[in-house]
Amino acid sequence: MIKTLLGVVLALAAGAASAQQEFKIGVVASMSGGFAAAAKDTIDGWRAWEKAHGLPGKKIIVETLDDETNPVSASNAFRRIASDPGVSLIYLFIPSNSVMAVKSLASEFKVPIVAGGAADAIGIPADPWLFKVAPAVRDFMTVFSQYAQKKGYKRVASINSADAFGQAEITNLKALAPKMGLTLVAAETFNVEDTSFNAQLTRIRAANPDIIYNGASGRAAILTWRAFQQMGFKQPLVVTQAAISKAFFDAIGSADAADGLMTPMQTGVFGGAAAADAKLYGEMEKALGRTPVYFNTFGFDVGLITEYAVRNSDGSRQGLRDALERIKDLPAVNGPVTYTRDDHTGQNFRSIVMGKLKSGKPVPAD
Amino acid sequence: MDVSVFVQLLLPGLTTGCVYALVALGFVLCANVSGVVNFAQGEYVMLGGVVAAWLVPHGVPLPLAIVIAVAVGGGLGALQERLTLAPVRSSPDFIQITITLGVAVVLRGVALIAFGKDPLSMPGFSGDGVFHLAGAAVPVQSLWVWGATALMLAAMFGFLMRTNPGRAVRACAINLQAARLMGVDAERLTLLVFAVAGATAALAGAVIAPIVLATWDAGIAYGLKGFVGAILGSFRSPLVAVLGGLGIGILESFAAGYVSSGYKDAIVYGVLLAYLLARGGVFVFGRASLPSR
Repeated sequence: MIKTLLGVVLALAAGAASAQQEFKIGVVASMSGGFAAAAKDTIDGWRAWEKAHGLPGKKIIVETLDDETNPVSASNAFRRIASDPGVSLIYLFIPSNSVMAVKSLASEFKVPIVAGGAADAIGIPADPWLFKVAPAVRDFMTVFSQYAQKKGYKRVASINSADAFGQAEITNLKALAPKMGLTLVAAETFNVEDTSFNAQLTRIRAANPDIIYNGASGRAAILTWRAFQQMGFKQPLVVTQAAISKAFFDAIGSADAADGLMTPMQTGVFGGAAAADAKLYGEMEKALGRTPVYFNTFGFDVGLITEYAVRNSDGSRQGLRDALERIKDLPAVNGPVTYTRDDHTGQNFRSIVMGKLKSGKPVPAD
Repeated sequence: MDVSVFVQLLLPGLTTGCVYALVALGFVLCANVSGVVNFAQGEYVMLGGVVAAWLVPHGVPLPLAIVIAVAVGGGLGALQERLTLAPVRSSPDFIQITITLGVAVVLRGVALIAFGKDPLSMPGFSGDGVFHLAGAAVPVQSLWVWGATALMLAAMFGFLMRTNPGRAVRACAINLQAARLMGVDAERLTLLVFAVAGATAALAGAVIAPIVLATWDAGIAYGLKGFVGAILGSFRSPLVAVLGGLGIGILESFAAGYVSSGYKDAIVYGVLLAYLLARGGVFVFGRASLPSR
């Protein structure tokens, strides 16, 4: 009798301990400022993963700090959250420049970090504690070059912003073009605050390219698109994924007006069977309760990476970091995730395909 | 030289230059009567654009939207002078100039909150088509920009040359103290000029918005280039400032088209630097011509 009672008490105690096993995640997210919409979509996607998968046997505690889409605030928020010994893992749902600001601190606190951002420098050279998820600029330009090669285009022109993102695009394209049998016949730049792109497009027209890449986003994307139309360009036009937005469609008249416009996209954007993993996409869509947008898919993939790391480690910071670095071809909505000791980029060009717009919706390009 | 390329660079450069010219004119007029460089001048271009581009999709007829945008520019120009400069008129120049920088930041912030961060578009006054000239494709709206600029400049120079307040402005430009002693009411004149400069810039913003869109942060670029035009006019000559503004628009287009888009701004500011050094006599007399402190 006493033995039975003791057994019941021990079982209850073990159950209680198990129920209280917490896994604390710190999140630095742009809850306000220019990146707020993307960060919110990312969090929604991560919540969908939590609902669909979660961490069995663990109670996930999330502490979120706002970086106001500001690199200085991001660094401060990271310091604060990384100083909490209870935090096992940190997410950065902030723009590339803010992630780069945090990267310089990553090894100081020795907390594994899973980060957003597209800048190549986030993943390479690899910081031992920082793991990027989405493909890098290099990968998007790889897909553009592969597409040009596949279609038999030889002469490529590019127009890019003078900021770090635009210069990374053109640097990668210059390196890739000769390998793909392409000739870069025009490489124009602009400042994001420019209001006239006439001179750049005049030079591109004079270079007579077979296909054009336009790295403009925001207002510059709208103005360059208009200028291409006004100057009567007939060549296929490929834009960066960031160019496509509601504001873009509003400004050019309608979503239909952009029909045929191409952009390299992560497969999760297409949804359904076109997603890299249709089963995972279905789980995400069901948990989300609506058609996912790009940053939802990114958030869901962050959850899948977390799930792998927790399942394959002892839950300590060092254990999680080591497990993250062992990830190889982990299935995710946008494509397989792989980390090596030297490359913490995560997804790569395999998770991107050339898409084109049809009535405002992305479909895989021919 | 390919004529079509030349014209394709010249005409859009002229369009942008028109806006710089009107901003430069505003800089010079404000400086003439108040002695203050109004760094908020570019923000009135932005305001004219965002107000008109916001009103039109909300059902306000285009002509009325433009009138409202111009009125907002003029009214805020007058308010800026009354509320932020008049109370510190006897303060050192650098304080007054710093205040205009503060006004620029406030105007930008208010526009961001009121109109959002996304660019606002508005239809061209005669449609969104293009016309072809010597092989160049130019938006039809450019004709409106050129026409509005010509009209505004004609009115402004008519005001300066043929009206008593205009003569008073010119007198202030020559010698502010002497003009006051001759009975010129510099305070009232300053209010008038800030209002006119604000309205002129707002009109420029409204007519260029169909080509370049309207955004809360557009004023900085226009302000800087207009400032360069005003420097070329030594903050004294409205005519040289206008020509300077037009020249900068054309120069940056040619620089981007014939040299490199990456060096466009470097060339514009390099030319300004060379001009200032040449005007100071450095190329003729060397550094010895510079006054010692």
